[in-house]
Amino acid sequence: MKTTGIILFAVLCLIQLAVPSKMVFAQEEVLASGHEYRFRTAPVDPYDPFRGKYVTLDFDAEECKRPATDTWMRGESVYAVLGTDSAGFAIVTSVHKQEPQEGVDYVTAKVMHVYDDKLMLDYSFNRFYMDENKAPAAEKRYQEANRRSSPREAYAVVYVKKGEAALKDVMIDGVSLRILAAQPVE
Amino acid sequence: MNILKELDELTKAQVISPESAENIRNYYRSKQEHSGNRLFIVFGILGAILVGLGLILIIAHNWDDLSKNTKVCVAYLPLVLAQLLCIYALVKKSDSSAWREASSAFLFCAVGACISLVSQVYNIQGELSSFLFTWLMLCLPIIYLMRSSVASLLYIVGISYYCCELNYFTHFFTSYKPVHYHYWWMLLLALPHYYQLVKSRPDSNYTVFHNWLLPLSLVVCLGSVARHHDELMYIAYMSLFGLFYLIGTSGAFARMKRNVSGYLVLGSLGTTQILLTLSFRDFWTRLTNDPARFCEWYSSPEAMAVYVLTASALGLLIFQNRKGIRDFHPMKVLFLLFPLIFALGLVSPYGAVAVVNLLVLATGIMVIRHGVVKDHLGILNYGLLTITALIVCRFFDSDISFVIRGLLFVLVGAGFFAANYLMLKKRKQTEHRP
Repeated sequence: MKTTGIILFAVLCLIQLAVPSKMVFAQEEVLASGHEYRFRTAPVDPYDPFRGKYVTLDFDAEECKRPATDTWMRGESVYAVLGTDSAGFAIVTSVHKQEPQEGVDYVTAKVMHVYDDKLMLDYSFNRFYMDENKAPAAEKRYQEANRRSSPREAYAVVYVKKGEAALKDVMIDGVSLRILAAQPVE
Repeated sequence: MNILKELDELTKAQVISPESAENIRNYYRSKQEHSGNRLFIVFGILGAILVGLGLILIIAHNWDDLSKNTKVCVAYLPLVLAQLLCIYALVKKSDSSAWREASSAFLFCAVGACISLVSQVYNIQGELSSFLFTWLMLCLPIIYLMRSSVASLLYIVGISYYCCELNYFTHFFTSYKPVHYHYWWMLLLALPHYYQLVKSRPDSNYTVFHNWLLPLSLVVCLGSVARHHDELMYIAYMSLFGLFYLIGTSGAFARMKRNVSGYLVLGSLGTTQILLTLSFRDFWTRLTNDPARFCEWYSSPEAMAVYVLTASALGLLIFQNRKGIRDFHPMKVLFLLFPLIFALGLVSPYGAVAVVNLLVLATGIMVIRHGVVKDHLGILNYGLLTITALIVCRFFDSDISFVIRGLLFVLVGAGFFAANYLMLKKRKQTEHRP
């Protein structure tokens, strides 16, 4: 009886290790063989008691044309098919309720607002975790870069594969936010 | 221990024999050992939970100087450590409740820590509900494999929060309200452990905690089934509170040393609170304003909750009284009357208001009577408080003149004083009787 209990517990331990490992492998696979997209962003700085400090990202590509064929409800999950604009930044080309067929890049999103002619989407990759000491500096840097008058270009690098997305880095004028946050603010 | 100091003197004076003195010494020694062991368990569990939470916070700092691979390895550290501690507890200390409970509590925290730290390293936000679901499912087997009541308590807290997150918080402001019933089967999975606990250790602290946490969780989560016919939830809640009261007064629960369980208290308070809420006119007039909303109510999820809970409570009531009606208490049967009052309210709102008010008054009086018969000041005052609450409610919405309302308050105040005085006097007389 005792041996059976220990064996079952060992199986449980393996399952407990396998679940986070699956998350690690899934993300590594997207980063290794997914397609790179650059999303223009704007941050705020909340605090998550479970996961430490992070910068919340708002994307320009959150807004998209509302398909007239379906009714859309706030809070429902949808698939957003991605494309790029003339400057090479990500845009949403279409939104679907069913998973798109292979051959196109898409991510899952939640409908945040429904307007007459457009939808506002909420992506799952809108948190960029930072060292808690560097997060406030990162926020400052990013707010500066996201001012309308600012000539600097800020964007998130996201890898996409079969609906899965992995946020690799946040860049300001091609330099990682992690590196910028470590430098003193002028 | 004072009595131990007296033992030598009592033995010398030949009040007790040396054997009796030794027996008394042994008794207190074993009792002390037992309470020491209990303290070890309490501090063991608290320590494990604090260490687990502390590790989460330290790693949540998100050390940017570490490479991604190092951070992933560090994320696994608490989990592996907790698993090793649990295996040690299973192999070497399987008889020590302190070891089993503390290592299980640590493992419970470590699983959550590992998943959230991996999410942090890879910037996976995900939904809080799916994170909680994965965490709880990975920790459910700990309850049975480690025979851990702390894991069971943490699991019940977890599924309650998961249910609230899924049904109350996430879609609170959205029009899209998907139906989620995961809480119910997740709760069923924890019940075998609870059943064992009630059967084998009815007076242990773990059982007492479960007796409060489980009904509390049900009260919070029952509302999650409400969709388009939420008025029916009043009947469902009434039956749930009736069921709680019946559980609290039956079988193992009635025989428990500390028999004021969560079931009894929540059942009684809940029933009174619903009746007081529905003693106002507003609810009943709203009910009749829009009769169209009641089309096809009988197949709604709210109606299912009503069927299941009323049938369960009725079944238990019949089972309790299978050998004739014993120990009658109004709280045990109010849930049966309520669907009839609800039906009456659909036809005549004012009729329902009158019946509910009378019912609260009658319940208050019967509870007072119950308190007098049982010579219990708490029950007596609870009955008086029920009537006071009813009068306070009527203070707000009735057109009775201030003089009559004032007189009612004076009467109830005098009633409080007189009832308590008379009962204390009766007690004194009984004590002084030879």
